Amino acid sequence: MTNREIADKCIAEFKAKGMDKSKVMINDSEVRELYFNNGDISMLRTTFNTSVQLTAIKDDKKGATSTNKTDDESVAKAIKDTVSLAESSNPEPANDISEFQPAEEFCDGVMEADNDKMYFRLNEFLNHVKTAYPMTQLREGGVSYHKSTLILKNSNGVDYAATGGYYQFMAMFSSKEGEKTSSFNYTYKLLKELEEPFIEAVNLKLLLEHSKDEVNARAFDQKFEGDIIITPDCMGSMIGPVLGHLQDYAYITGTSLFKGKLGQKVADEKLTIRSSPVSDDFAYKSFFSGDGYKNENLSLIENGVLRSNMLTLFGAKKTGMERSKTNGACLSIDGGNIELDEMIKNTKKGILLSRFSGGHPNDNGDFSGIAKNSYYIEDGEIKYPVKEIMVTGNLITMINSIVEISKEVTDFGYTKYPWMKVSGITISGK
Amino acid sequence: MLKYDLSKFKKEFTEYTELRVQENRTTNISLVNGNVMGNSTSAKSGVSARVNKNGNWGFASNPVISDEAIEKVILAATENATFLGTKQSKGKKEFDSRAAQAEKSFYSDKPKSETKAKIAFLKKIDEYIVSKYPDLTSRTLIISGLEMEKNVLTSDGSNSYSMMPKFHIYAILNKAVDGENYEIFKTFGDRGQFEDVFKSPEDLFSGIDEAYRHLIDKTNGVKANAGLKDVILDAKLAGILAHEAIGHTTEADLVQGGSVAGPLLNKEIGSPLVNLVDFAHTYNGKTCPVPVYIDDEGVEAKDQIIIEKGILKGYMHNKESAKHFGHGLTGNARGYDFSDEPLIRMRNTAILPGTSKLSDMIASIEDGYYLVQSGNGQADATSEFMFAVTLGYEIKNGKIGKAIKDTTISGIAVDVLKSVTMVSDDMDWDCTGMCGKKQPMPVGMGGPAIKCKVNIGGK
Repeated sequence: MTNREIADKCIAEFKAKGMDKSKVMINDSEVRELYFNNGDISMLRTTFNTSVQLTAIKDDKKGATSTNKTDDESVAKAIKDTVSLAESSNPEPANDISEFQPAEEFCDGVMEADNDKMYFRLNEFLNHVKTAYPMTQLREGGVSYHKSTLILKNSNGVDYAATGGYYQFMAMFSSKEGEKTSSFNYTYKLLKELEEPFIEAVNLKLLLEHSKDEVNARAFDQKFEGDIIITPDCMGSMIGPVLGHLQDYAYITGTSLFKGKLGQKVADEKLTIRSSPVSDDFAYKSFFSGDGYKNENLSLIENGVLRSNMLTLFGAKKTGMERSKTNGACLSIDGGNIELDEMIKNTKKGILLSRFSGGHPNDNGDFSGIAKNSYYIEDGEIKYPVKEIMVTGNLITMINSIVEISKEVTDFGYTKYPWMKVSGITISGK
Repeated sequence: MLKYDLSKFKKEFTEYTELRVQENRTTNISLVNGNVMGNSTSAKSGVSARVNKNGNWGFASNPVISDEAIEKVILAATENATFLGTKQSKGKKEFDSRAAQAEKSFYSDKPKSETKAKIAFLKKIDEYIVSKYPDLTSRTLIISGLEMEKNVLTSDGSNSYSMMPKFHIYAILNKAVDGENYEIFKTFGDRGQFEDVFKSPEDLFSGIDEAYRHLIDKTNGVKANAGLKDVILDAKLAGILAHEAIGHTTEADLVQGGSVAGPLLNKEIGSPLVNLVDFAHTYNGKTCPVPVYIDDEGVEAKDQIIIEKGILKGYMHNKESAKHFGHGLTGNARGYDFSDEPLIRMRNTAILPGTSKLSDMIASIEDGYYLVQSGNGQADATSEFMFAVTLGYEIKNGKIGKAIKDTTISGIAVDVLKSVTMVSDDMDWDCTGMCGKKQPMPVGMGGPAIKCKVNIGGK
């Protein structure tokens, strides 16, 4: 039986058991991973999996289960469990499934892994680092190939299927000089092909150069309010919590810092954040949401104005707001009009923030954490790598205090971020 | 129950091989402001094999569990190791062995609590919160359960079966005051299935009352004064200190990767008051939160002393790292899902109790902080760690003062451990969180209250 036929059978079974609405998602996935450990390729891993996610709603009561089996017995048990969960739940009018849309199939990316090419590129990278960066220890990482075939069907007749494949390169490393160790750092990129050496990916050369210097990171005892230049590698951890305030939980609990702000200015006008799940500019695409709607490319914040929330169907119905037309995949921040070198030259006193190791910001958006793999900037010059430095600020203040955004934008394959300078951050040493 | 006799597949092993059949089951029910927002279960099972041939590892997995599929997975893992062997030869590896047989299950013998009963359990707590604390802006209650059931067979003679469950209830209370939002997070739970961990909703009411008091304290809280400060880390935080600050740096794969712990073996890295152990399964005659009897490489798990009276005494190992360092096996290799290879993971990492009383420790600080509850944490090869503090108080002239707003603390582990001057005589264990290191993993952590110096974020 094909996955489509299994899905049809599940939907028919849910109907026969008295369910008002149902949704079935079945995903066949394959991962091939060449893994390195302490500088040597140590393992080839191939895994296959299947995920069957079932949702059923009766009298506004919802149940959901997942299994990774498609045999008759396992699917029958999953259906029974889903019905039982729905029947034992509480009514919630916001529970729903997407309405009918014409059936569509999508296909994108690499359809078959090239084991030899994966080995060649990874081995080439490891040898290059050993030669060019002898102080650097490649702790772990590798190249992996990911392929999935996902179908989504529901009892309203929604019928979507998407097949996609991509490579992913990842490296985690630190450097050592005698007994001195640098803070670990890492980067990764999603790729459509393996034509370019991994050393050319993202900002890897810069990060490896910095890693060497960071064995001599220095602490300082100052406390001051200054600028931080958030690097593309660090941007996700700073912007992610901001976007969390656009999602279901924040709105439903009333804790969103963007409550009632749709269409209003919420950030500095230099900030434009996009979600482009179906753009050819990324190595990965997400054609439809888990709710069963086709994704669209759109701006979340455009020139500082909040253009879209990131609400699911449930979140939208629960709050009476509009459902988002993106599931938030493939995020990017538009580049600005200044070169990075110039941005650094314009900085009086601050930190080049390359990695943020911090606690999750509180409900008011206050955050604090350690500046890792980061550098002290004074009078327009990068002075030295720092350690034991805390940065403290507020998410909303941060996006309203953007001084400059770089022209240069780093492509991680699933996100694209520039360097961004923000003022008014408390920077404190020991 | 997923108990599978794997012994018949031993004849399929042609190289060093680990074979694992595993199922992970999860339960998630969430109630937001009294409404069921999430109600789901999942079951994920399959078979995996890991083979070492001439120093190269091959790994393969499949969700189908049948004799035929198991044989295919063993073959595929062997072929993967062979493929790497065509590219690079590392020489045959002979690992030390401490093979054992064991069966350990924490299935409850009580009648199974159905979903309806679990929702009713949460509803009862929710009704209590609403009736007693109507001033809250929102409340969230979550039941989160994980059951890991494993069968492991290895070519060096181990054969084991285990079922390790843990269930927790998370309560998140929010209150807005003057346009500012405040949140408190309280966890309840332990190792065991829901029926064994949670007897009655009323048992949680005093914990809810305490959480509310803390929330009110936070609404009147002040920002911490940033910088290096004298602090008392409550027993609840000592576990995360043990895990993040020292535990990760002494995982042998991180040591091989250059962590600062490498050159510090048998050297002083902390005050003589500091003793730190990664317990396999039992502490003081009681089963630890995340007991491991035989790990996923088939090694009988033993306690590993990490720090003894301030001296770094050892690392946590898998077979490969134990061979590399010439150390004994510890049994620290575990994989999260059936499709995950075993990695070096902590089990129950704890700082051992001392002799001081918490009240005396607080009284000994003129100007500092009493840090009570933690959020997420992170480690580093340099041993510079951080973790979020979601509940803490000022200490002024030896007395507890105002609550502080959420912040982060950090430090270099060796510096912090050397600054320890008092260790309390009590002990708190926890297995709420999951450790992240390529794969998630349940871990136990524990400790007493500790007086030390850390860097605190703030104004």
